Amino acid sequence: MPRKLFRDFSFEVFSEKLSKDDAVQLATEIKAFRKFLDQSDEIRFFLENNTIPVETRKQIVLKCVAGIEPEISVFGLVILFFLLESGLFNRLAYFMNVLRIYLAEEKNLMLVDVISRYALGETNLRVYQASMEYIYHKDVAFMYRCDPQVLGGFKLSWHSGEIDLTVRRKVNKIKELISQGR
Amino acid sequence: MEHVSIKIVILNFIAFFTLLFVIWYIVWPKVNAFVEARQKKIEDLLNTYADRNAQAEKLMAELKRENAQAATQRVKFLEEAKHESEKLRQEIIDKAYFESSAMIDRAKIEIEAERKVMFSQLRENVSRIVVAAVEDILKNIVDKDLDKKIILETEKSVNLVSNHAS
Repeated sequence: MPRKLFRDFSFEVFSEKLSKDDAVQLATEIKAFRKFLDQSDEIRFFLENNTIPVETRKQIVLKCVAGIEPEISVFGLVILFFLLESGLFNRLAYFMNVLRIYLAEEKNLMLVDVISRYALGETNLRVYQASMEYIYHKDVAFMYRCDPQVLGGFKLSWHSGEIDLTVRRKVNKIKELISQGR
Repeated sequence: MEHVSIKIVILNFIAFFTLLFVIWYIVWPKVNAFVEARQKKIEDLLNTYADRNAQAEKLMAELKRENAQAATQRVKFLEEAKHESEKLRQEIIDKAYFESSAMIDRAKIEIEAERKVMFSQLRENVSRIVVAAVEDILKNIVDKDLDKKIILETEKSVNLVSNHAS
C-alpha cells in the first residue's frame, strides 16, 4: 500500500539487483545525500522545484554527488533520477522508508540503523543480530552512525521498531523521574 | 279716700276689653306666628345640628375604626418589614459568607496551583541542571573502552533470546 505513490518504480527489478551490501551502501549514500541537502537549502529548493526541467535538475544532482562521501552508487542515482522524473523528489525520505519496508517484507532483508557514540564493529552486535534474525526470520544488516549525543551504549532502529540501549535514554529517564518528583 | 266713678270703671273695662280684643285678634296671632316660626326654625336647626352631629359621630367612629385598622396595618407592616429586613439581612450575611468562603476556596486552589506550578518548575529546573551536569560528566568519563564496557554490561542485562538463536 505505501508503494502506491511510487507505482512507476519497479521495486522487484530493483531489489533483484541489490545485494545485502548494496542495500546497506545505498541506505548510507542516500542518508549522506539527505544530510547534504539539509545543509544546502538552495540546492534542495532547485531539486524539489518541479517547474525546473528534469534534465537541469539531473545535472545539479550529478554535480552535487561528486562532492559527497561515500560516493553515490548507480542504485542511488537510479532512485534520485526516478524521483526527479516523477516529480516526487521532496519524498526522498519517504521513498527510502518504503524501500526499507519492501526489502524487509518481500526480500527478507532488514536494514537496521545503529547509532552509537563511538564506532562499533559487527562483533559488538553479533548477539543482537542473531537475536533479531531469529525473531524476525530475516537477514539483518546494520548501518552504523556515530552521534556523540547518545553519550554511550547504542540504539537500534528499523522500519517497525527500535531498541534503545543508550546512556542518553537512561539520563532522560532520570530527568523524567526528577521532573515528576518521584 | 277718693270716690271711684262707675263711669271710669266702665271705661276702663271697655278699654281693657278693647285692648284685649286687639291683642287677642290682631297682635297675638302675629306674635304667635312669629314665635312658632322661630320655634320651628330653631327645631329645624336643632334637627340639622343633630343630624350633623350624628354624621360627625358616625364619621368619627369610622375614622376611629380606620385609625384602628391603620394602626393594625401599620403594626402588621412593621412586623413584615422587620421580618423582611431580618430575612434580607440573613440573606446578605449568608451571601457574604458564601462569597467569602468561595473566595477563600478559590484563593486556596490558586495557591495550591501556584505551589504545584512552582514545584513543577523547580523540579524541571533541577532535572535540567542535574541532566546537564550528568551529561557533562558522562561526556568526559565515557571513552571508547568504557563505552565498550557499557555495551557488554547492557548485553548481559538485556533479556535476549540469543540463547535460542545460538
